[in-house]
Amino acid sequence: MKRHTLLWSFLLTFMLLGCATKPAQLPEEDLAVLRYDTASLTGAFELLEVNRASSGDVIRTQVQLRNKSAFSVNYQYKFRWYDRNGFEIAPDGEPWRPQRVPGKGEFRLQGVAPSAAATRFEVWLRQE
Amino acid sequence: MRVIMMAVLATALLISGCTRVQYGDATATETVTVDFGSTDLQMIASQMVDDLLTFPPVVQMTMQRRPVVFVDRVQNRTVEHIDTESVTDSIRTRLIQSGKFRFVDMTVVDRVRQQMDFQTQSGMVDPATAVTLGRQIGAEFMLYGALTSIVKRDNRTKDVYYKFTLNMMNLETGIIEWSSEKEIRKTRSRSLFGL
Repeated sequence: MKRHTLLWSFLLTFMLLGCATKPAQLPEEDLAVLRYDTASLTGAFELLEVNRASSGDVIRTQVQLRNKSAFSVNYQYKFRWYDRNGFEIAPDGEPWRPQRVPGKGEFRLQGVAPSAAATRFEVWLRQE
Repeated sequence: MRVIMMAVLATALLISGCTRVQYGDATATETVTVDFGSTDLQMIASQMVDDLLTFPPVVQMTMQRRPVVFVDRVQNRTVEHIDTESVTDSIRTRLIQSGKFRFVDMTVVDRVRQQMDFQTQSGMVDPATAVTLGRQIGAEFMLYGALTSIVKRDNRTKDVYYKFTLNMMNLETGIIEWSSEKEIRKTRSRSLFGL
């Protein structure tokens, strides 16, 4: 009886731990959105959510991220927009925007497509 | 004499060795000083255009047609010398490239008139190809705004706050149909030993 109780306790603990550490399952399309420009920053952020909406025929987006580190990070970001043929729209149009995120902090980045021709986007991050 | 020439040559090589020219990323974040810079200009232009393109009444209006706009000017109410026309140029360029707006340019009216006079009065241009007078389209909206700043400083820190405001007025009704603001805060701190 004691042995069974112990086994069940272990199983339950493992199941709960598994649930707690399992990352949110995002579609492949969303996972491809997050890109790093600096190797040292690669994997520093966890992608939590990607929202898309349209204002008329122009796409709006919001990307929610979390800083995995316990320390604050100074980073820069920019959105890159692509048309249906994969050509980048206005490559020099979007500036790198400086930001600071506290340790373990969550934040949202918003972008608006430069024109109705945009069908896909990426959000690029790099170390400041 | 030979020694002097060698010394001159060595000095020239040393000096030229210190000079380096390289191209950089025009969209990179610029933090040389806290003064108004290229990153501020680009962020303001980008934010204004994003706001305008997603403002629901503007979205509704630009679904049917491409309104004609003219850019008045952005008043520089800061203590710095800032070319605010450069900011409005960037905003106008982005709006034209969005395919949602058309613009008339009041800064070239004299030169346009000069060219029209040449076409219609000089006798050198085939009248069949000359532009017809009185066919230009009047602007429906006017973009205007202001850039202000608040500067605070002490021995170690300089804090600059910029606020850019842009309005779009319906010229017929006088109603401001859209307005947006972008705020930027920049702080420069000197370390303890001034390094």
